[in-house]
Amino acid sequence: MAQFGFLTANDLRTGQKVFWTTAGTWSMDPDQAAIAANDRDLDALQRVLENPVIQVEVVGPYLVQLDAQSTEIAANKAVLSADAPKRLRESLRLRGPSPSTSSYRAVIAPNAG
Amino acid sequence: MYQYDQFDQAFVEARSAEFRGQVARRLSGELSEDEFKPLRLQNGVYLQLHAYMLRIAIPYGELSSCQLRMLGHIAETYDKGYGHFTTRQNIQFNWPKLVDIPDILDKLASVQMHAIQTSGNCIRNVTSDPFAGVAADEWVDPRPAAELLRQWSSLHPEFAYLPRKFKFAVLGAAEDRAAMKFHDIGLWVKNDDTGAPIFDLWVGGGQGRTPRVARLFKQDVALIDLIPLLDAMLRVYNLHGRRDNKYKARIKILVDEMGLDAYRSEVEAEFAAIDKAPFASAVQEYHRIAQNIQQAAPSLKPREVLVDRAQWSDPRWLDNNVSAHKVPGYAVVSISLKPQGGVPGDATATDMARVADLADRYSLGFLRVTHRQNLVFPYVPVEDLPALHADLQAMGLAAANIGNASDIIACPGLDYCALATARSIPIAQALSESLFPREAKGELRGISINISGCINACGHHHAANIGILGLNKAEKENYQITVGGRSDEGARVGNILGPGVNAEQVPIVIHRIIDKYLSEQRVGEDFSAVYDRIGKEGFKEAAYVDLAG
Repeated sequence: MAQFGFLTANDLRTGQKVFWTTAGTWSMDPDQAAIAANDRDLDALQRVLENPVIQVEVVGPYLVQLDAQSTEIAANKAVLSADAPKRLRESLRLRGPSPSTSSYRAVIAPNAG
Repeated sequence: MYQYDQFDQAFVEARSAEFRGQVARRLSGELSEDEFKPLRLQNGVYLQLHAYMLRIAIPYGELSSCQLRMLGHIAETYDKGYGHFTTRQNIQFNWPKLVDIPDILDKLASVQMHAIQTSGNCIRNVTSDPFAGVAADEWVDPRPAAELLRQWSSLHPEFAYLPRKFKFAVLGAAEDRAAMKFHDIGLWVKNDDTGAPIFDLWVGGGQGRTPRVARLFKQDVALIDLIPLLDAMLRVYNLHGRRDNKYKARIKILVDEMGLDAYRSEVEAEFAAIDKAPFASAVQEYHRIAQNIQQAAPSLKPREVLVDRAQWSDPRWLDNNVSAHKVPGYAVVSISLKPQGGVPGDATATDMARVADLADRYSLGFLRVTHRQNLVFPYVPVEDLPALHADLQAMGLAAANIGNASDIIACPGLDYCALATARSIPIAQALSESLFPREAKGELRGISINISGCINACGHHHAANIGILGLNKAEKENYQITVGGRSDEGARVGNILGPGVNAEQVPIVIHRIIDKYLSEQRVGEDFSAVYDRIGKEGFKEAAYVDLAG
């Protein structure tokens, strides 16, 4: 079975999680992530990781392995659902955090401003 | 509260300027991440799951309204509009940009705050009794000793790279409101027959994967010996503490492996060899700090004003959130940061600004942060209680649950923390939603529930009557339940109840444990007393019946 994966990191200046795109840039939008769906694509992502130039703007880039069965393929484009990563940590990093402080506060104290 | 002198102010400003330069060099590429990481950590900057996190020290949990207003400003201007008060009386911001942090530190310095040593293998922010200086059961105000420790440990050249992080707590009252016995070193201050402060020292407490209750190291230590003795205790730890395995690097492991008597002997030998002359100034500094704190404190005169319960339609807030003050006519008020369904310890920028205003109006501008992630007003005139309660109700901050089951401690867990193995916050929220209706009947006092998102135990699960530990089992969240822990003067570690359960089962199990407690409870018994009588097995049978694994 093919190995699926994508590259992620944190932006150096802001700390925001970012994703390597097919355009060869880092994006904050996980839906723009370049997803490797075969060994050739994975090798290409590995070469990106090894290129020190791409690490200038980010901290700690690494490859996230995906569960192929949870990764939908539509029109040759993989879509990352929250349960796509094999690891729980990466699922929550991808779509978390789960609660919204502002939303619960709005319910508890709607007039609190 | 302690007011910075020129030296203190220059120190934090210099440190902020230094970090500004380090950030600039990192952004320019002059420093690699490997070079920069220890520098940012020493200034409280972590890189977490989603973004940077800035942990700001609130020394021994004491805040002014001015400082809280600044924290609210930082939340609003540089973060996503909220902050998280932690179990070490600190505050964390989860979304600051690295490029903004030098400005944040400058603003903190302008209100006598900093983030120094809130991370790294050094002596961390000293914690203390949130009722320090005002508690009715207090023997000695612990704040002068806590501040002395802050000054002694800040950039201490010998202890900047210890085998592992190191945590102090200082108490001066009969009741332990700071989980002192779960600290690397705990100080319990008393007065001797002459009225001079003397210290009982406890060592080797801690949580994490090897929880330990601290053991009594030495009683009645004189002030003149305090700092050289602590130097000796840290030196022996620094020399022998393990550096090959971070899970065995805390002083609790060293004391276990050496034995308390052998550790004590080596410390005494080190203490005997220390030249004490340079430490004489520590005594002077203690008294200067005590005078500084006293001068800044309000002068309260006892008054014959009593709480009129008749004017309270629901006295639960009085019963749970209002504590006795050492000066008659005043009260210590705890403000719960645990609204129904809320995130424990979270406060919005609006909350912070409004609570700061209330502190000015009702508490002479002073506040405290508790290790249970709540706030405290230490100087409330008794006749102001109804008005304060009404103002808090209007803000959604009048939850009457201090010391109740829904006063849940929770770490950020896997929603934010890079070390976590499971989420804490949604578990806390689900429990809170289901516990509030029960507490409206007033039946859930004397139970503590703490949740940690990993074995590092930042959520103090070991020390709770009911502890919840989030684990990763085959990439699924799984929660281990413990019972019987406590963090007060009778501190002890909870016992694992049985097999782990999934997230949906946690509230079921917790309510069953509470049901069992209530069904077994005799007059005057709290959870610990019931646990002592029926043991773990008594709860286990009730908790797991008909529960699919």
